[in-house]
Amino acid sequence: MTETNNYLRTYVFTGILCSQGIILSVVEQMFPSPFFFAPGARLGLTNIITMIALMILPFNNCVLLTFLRLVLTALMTGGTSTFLFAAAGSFLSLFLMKLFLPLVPRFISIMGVSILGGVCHNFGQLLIAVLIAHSKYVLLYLPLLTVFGILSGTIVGLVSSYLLHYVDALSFIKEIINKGN
Amino acid sequence: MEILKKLKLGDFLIIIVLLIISFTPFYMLHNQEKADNQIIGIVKINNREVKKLPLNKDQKWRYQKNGKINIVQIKNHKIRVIDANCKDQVCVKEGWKSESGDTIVCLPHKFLIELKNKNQIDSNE
Repeated sequence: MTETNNYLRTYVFTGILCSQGIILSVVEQMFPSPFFFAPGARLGLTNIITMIALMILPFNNCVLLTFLRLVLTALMTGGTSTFLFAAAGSFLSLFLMKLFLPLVPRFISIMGVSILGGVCHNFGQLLIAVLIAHSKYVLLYLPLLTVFGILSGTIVGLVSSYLLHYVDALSFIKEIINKGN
Repeated sequence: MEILKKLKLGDFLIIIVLLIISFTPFYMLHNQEKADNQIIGIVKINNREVKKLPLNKDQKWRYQKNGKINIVQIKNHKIRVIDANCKDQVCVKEGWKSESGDTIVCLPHKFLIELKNKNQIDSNE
């Protein structure tokens, strides 16, 4: 009985995080980009959701969450090309963040992971741009995007570390889910 | 400044490594540009592009129309007009050209050879 409950709880929480991610990306598109002089650079508020999911949920749920969020966001706002860009960026950053997450309390902080995620998000988008534009010269844009990725990654990391620290529900949910696994 | 206290050594390492990685395309593309620094002679007549002659292949090319003749020779990555039937012969006297940006002009025939880098042309298209 409790096992099915935990199973359900995990998926419900995945759904909640997914909806929050969609809302955040829709809200972010309403704002003019804070880095107005570098088109393509974004604040990446949805990375907060990815960070929290990685800290709390099992990894396959994170992949499911990212995929659902991408599809639904594409249906609500962008088109196919936006979906391609966002998917490449999101999955690249998700996998790399997962790779570096075990190092967290000892060698790096949450900020480091989210900086990595933000930069890799931009990097994945640029790779798709290279494929679409058939020009390697798009990669010359990378240093600028990296700098803004680091800036936005710091902000995202700060927000998510405070969230994990202060929101009691998150640690409660983490406990329940970990008990189930 | 409180943010800096929260950051650990590994974070700075990540930032530095990411910055280094982000600058690698510069070096790669720069080296590549040197490697395929191929020059192409573009022949224009009446400002319309007629033929592209890559300078890495030795050849002779003859242009003949309405009694106007220009013969172009390419040898050892250099290009020149070897013979022409115009009256001032300026194009023949120009001699060998090999650098990107060089031009050979034959005004009476409205004949123009422009030397350009290959990737310069590619990026324009």
